[in-house]
Amino acid sequence: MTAGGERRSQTAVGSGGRGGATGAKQDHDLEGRDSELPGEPLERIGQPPDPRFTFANERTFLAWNRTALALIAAGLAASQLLDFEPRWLRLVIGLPLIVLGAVTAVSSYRLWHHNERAMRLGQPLRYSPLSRPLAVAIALVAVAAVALAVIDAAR
Amino acid sequence: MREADRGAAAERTALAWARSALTLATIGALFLRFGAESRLPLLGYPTGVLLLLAGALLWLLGSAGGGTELDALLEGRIAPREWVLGAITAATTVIAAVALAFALLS
Repeated sequence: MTAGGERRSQTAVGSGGRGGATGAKQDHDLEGRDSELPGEPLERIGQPPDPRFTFANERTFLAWNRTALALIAAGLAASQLLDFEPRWLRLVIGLPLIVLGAVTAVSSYRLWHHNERAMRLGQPLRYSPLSRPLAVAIALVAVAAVALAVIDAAR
Repeated sequence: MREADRGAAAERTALAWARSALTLATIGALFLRFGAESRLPLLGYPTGVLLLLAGALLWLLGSAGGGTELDALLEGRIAPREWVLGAITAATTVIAAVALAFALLS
């Protein structure tokens, strides 16, 4: 998955409404450096991609962030609503979900930043490295919850 | 058609922001509810109120993005909202820390 080839054509799309010397000047104004200084704002790096790509990247970030918030909410609800005794057993379900939520939030920002930068430089985009570990972790928590529920019911 | 595409993309993004705002407000309501039932109302109530306000703020921020100036949209001048997204990430991490404290102490 690369934004490079598309980006070059989309840059032309992006400047479709411009023409002549004015358009060329605006293009020049929009261009940034290809190398990144530490802490340099993204908008100064490379060339701006088509706004649709920027919006799509932002929506992906927001979707991951909602996943993070949902994990935190589920962990909080599990720690408050489950009725396992002793009490620390409900934390076995709740705490991993909350920690996963925090990890997902940080990971989603790093992914957004990487992909935004990659789009501006015409480099390959990246999928989230968290998809599979997150699925495995949620499955493990679910199995633990079922096991605890069965043991609790058998008492 | 191309312009309509971009407008639709901006609208989809604004709706994504609205969903995120609602999620945040829902967690705020959870904190309020659990704060009322637990031994930690002083942690639950302020956090809940803050998150409800943050939800409203996020909705406003999203609407601002969805209403991106048409000229900027057509010319492809959309600046990445680096600081806003960074602040959302930091806020989500803080929410996780408060939820962790709430789960352990209540």
